[in-house]
Parts: sequence; structure tokens; C-alpha cells
Amino acid sequence: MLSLKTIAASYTLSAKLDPEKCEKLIEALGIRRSTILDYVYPNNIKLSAAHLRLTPYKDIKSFIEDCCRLIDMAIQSGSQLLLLPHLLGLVPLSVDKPSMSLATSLIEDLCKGQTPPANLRARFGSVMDKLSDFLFDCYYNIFLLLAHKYNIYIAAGSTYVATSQGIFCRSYLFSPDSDEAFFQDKITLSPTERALGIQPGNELKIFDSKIGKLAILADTDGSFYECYKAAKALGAQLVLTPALSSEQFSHNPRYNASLMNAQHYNLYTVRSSFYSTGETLPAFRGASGIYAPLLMTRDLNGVVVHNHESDETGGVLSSRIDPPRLLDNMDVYSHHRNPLFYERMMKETYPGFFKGTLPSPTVVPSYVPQEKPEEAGAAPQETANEPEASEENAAQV
Amino acid sequence: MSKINVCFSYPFVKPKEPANLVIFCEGNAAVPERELPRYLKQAMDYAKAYQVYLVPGRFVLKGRLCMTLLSPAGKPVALQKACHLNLLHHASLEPGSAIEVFDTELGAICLIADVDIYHPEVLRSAAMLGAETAIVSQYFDLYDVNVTRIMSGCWDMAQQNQMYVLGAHNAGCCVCAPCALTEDESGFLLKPQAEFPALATVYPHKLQKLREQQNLLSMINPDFCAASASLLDR
Repeated sequence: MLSLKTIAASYTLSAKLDPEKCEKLIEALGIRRSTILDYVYPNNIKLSAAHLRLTPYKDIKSFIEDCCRLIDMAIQSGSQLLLLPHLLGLVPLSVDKPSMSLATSLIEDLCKGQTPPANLRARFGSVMDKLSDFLFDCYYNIFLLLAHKYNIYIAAGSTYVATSQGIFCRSYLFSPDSDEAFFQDKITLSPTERALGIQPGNELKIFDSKIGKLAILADTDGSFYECYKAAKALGAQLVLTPALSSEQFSHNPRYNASLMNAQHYNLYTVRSSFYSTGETLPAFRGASGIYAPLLMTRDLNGVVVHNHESDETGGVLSSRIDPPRLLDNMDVYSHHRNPLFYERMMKETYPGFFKGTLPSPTVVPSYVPQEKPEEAGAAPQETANEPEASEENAAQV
Repeated sequence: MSKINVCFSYPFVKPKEPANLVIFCEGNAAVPERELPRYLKQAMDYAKAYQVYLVPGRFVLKGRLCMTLLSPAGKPVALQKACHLNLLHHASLEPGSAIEVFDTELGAICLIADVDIYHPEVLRSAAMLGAETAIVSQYFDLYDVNVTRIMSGCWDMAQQNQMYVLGAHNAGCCVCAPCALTEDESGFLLKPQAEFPALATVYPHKLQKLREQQNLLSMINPDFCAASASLLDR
């Protein structure tokens, strides 16, 4: 029955998301090409991050119009790049009720946690098999066309992509200069994604754009310092973090790792989140903004621009950044590097952790208090068979 | 011990009951080596007199910035060298090369000296080695203290590594925990404050339960780390 529903949904979805239809809708908008990327000065880069309400769309025209609204706002601010939230590529599903019903039912069962994992994985695989091609083609073509028409970089969140190597969560950046989008596979999977059989990416890539070198760390990738450090080591000045925080699926919806890691690794970070009230889908909430090292922000708080409220329709947060200034920024609290520590960490601690062969913590003798505390002259007893920790520690120094 | 009652206090002031761990909020960047014997003797006497575990202020020992944990018997049971340095204050010192985790009555703890809290590598290594609680002793130039400084240190590390972080510095203190373990989900068991003595309680067993339900470290991609080792060891 489920398979029949999926097949039926694929027919209706393919009709509603027909790429030619989408192209005609975009052509009909009469988009005027901006000149925002024609002259780029390295210390005058402008970016926008969408803070977007998650809402179903009645048809693909509404979706396209809403995206154009956001791009127009970004361009009016003078922005050369617009970042959109994580899993934006799945939102066009909402234009088709049968498809949306399939997705909602899967999400509900995931939230309940009662369905056997194999069953969930099979259902997800079936949905991806039947629907993902139409969804992906629609998403890819819309944003590629919009990037070319508007002449702006569009980091269009992410989507799930079925490939010959498996299903990946992939973030795309569409450039007006290329017919092929830059993409980054999600590296750190959530337990839910693993349960659904999604494959992790194992490589971080850098996109060398007109506005600087940038990396994309979607969702959980943006919560792990390892990804930021690798991005920085590869030369990134700007890290884009499309986000999607929910109570059920995020380990910590309040954790703005973009703000934090801008401090640790001397980066500009940009974050775009969905929010929703939770009426039809799980509640999503998260902050969006543009962040920088403390000393490079007006209020010395790491925030260039920020929003965590739930506005009616959502909008974009825009600001200018100055990447060359990163070279001169030196924060005495986070500037020092210890290559010996990191080398040891990567050669011993990390491999040992993954293999489960790390040594146990150093045992410290238990302290047995005296029975009569008034007799302070008597030395307190310690368990007999451990060596004197103080002498051992002193010797180690 | 089923819980840690931590008291942050000015140096050598009587701790607030029922503290079993006292952390000094020292006003100086570090106790210089020439004053160390007197300082440590005083600290050991304090720990013995009040029957508490004690983390006194940071000190310089043999050209390294260090922290120690003293037992209620007045003996040093843990020693940690700072692995990163504030070059404004400690440019002449040498950093340590490893973080150590100590299995104590207070649970598995690590000592985080000064700016190590701003280097995620240190806390991640400690978490991988089994640390549940990080005891942090920092020095700030007062004009550098602000909310984001505190958040990007103690609070961030508590969220990233699912640990308790007991943070003491010369201008205040705080206790951070994973948001799920705090009543208002703020991630603070003791919000940043500058009034001493300050008392807070942490429960290691609650942290263990949280880690069993959702272990963040298990989400780290080993293949990515292996492939990126040359990027991550810089």
C-alpha cells in the first residue's frame, strides 16, 4: 500500500515540479540582472542570510516567488551572496499533498521512535527512489537559473541526493559563472540520518569565489570544531552554515556554533535557519546571522548581525564584511598554536578513541576522612596500594 | 561521590558549606615560581583544614603554567600544564603537550589552565579520554571580559563535549552544562557572576545518563578525521 502511495505521489509530484514549467515561471518574472558581482572589492564584501519561516507552499510558483523575494532583499542590500537554510531542497515537496503526506508520516514515525529502524530505512529508501529525482531536478534548476538571472551567489541550503554510492545530504552553492554548482556532502551525520541509511561525506572542499574562499558546513557539521578547523586550514575565510534546529532532531537547538567557532578559528561565519511553530511539523527554531571574531565586531560580542526571533514571514539579514582584516586580527586568548599537542592528538587520541584503545584516566587515590576531625594532628588515611600521586606528579613535571 | 558541591571563593577564604570542591578565583595571572612553595603550603593547609578538594590559582613551575588539584589530605593529586598560552602574559613559558584526565572521587576530571578553554582541541581530547568535568582557571584582562568571551569558552565547551565545566576567573565564575541538564535549558547551572563565595552542585550520573541517550562524540566522522589529519594537526 505504501509503495502504491509512493508511486502515485511520484506522478503528481513530477507534474507539479516539471523543470520546463519552473523555467517558464522564472522567465515570466522578468528578473533584472544585478551588477553586484561585476565589481568586487575584497574589503567590501556583502552577504545575506535568510531567516525563514518554514511553511508549506500551495504551488511551485509560490515557492519560486518567495525565493525571489529573498533574493531581491539581498540584492537591495548590496549582497553578493545569499545563504538559505538547511534542507531547503525538500520544501518543494509541500506543493504536492500526497508527497507531503508521505514525508510527514515518516517524520512523525521518526519522532515517535517506535518503528523498527529497518522499516524506516526501507520507507525512506522507497521515497527517495520514487521522488528524489523530480525534487532534485526542480531544486537544482530553479536555483541555477536564479543565480544566473540575478547574478548573485546562492547557497541554497541542502537536500538529499540519491547517487550510485548512496544517499547523501548535499549542500549546493550556485554561481552565476558556472553551469555546475559547487557542492559539499555533509560529513557529520545525526543518529536519525544514520538510521535512514544516509552516507557521510569524507572530504571538506573549498569554493574559491570572487568574494573569497568559502566552505559550507550544514546542520551538524556546523556543530563540530573539526570541520571549522579543517576549513580554516584549507584557506577558508568564510564558512556558511545552513541550519535546521528542532527539539527532536538537534542535540542542542540553542547552540549557535557559528558564533562560537568564528572566535576559535578567526573566521567569518554565516548562519541561516528555519523557524516554525510546530503546528504541522516538529517545531524548528534557531538563530540566523553573520558572525566574526570578537575584536572585529562593533560591540565586541562576535555578532555582526543576528536574529533568533520568529517573524511573520521571515527575511534576510545583511551586512558588509572585511575578510582581509582577518589577517591582522589577533586575539591573545585564542591565537596561540601548539602543533606538538595537535600532532599527538591526531596520531594517538583520535585513532585510539575510534578504536576504543585509549588508556583509562589516571586513578587518584580515594580520600578517607579522619573519624575524629578534632584530632587534626593525625594525618588522614589514604588507600594503601596506590603510589603517592603528589610525588609522581612532581616527577612528571 | 554522587555529586560535586563546588564553591568558588576568593583565595583562602572559608568555603561555603557543604562544599567538597573549592576553586580559588585568583586575582593574578599566575603565582610566580619564587612564591610557589609558600603559596602551595598555604593551599595544602587550607584543603586539610576544611577537608575539601582544592584547585588553587594557576602557578608557574619549571617554566610552565600549571594547575593542580589538592586532596582533603592536603596533597597534590593531579597536575596539569597549560597547553596553550596567553602570549601577552606568558610569552616566556613553555606549553605542555598533552591533557590528562584524572579518575577521582569527584568523577573523571580534567584541569584546564587559562586560555586552553579557547582551544576546542584540548577539551575534545579530554572528552575522548573520558573527562566528565572540566575545572577551568582563567585570567582575563578586565577590559576583555564580556558575555561572548564566557560563552565561547566554558559554555561552548560544555555543549560541544557534553561535559560539566566549572569556570573560575579573576572577575567571576560560572558552571556550564549541556543545555538539557539545566532547568531553564540555558546551559548554565550557575550563571556568570562576580559575587563570592558562590556554590553550585553538579551530578556526574546525570551527565552519564545524557551521554548514554545521545553520545555526541559518536557522531564524529572517523574517516573524515583520518583523511584530514594533516589539516587538523596544525
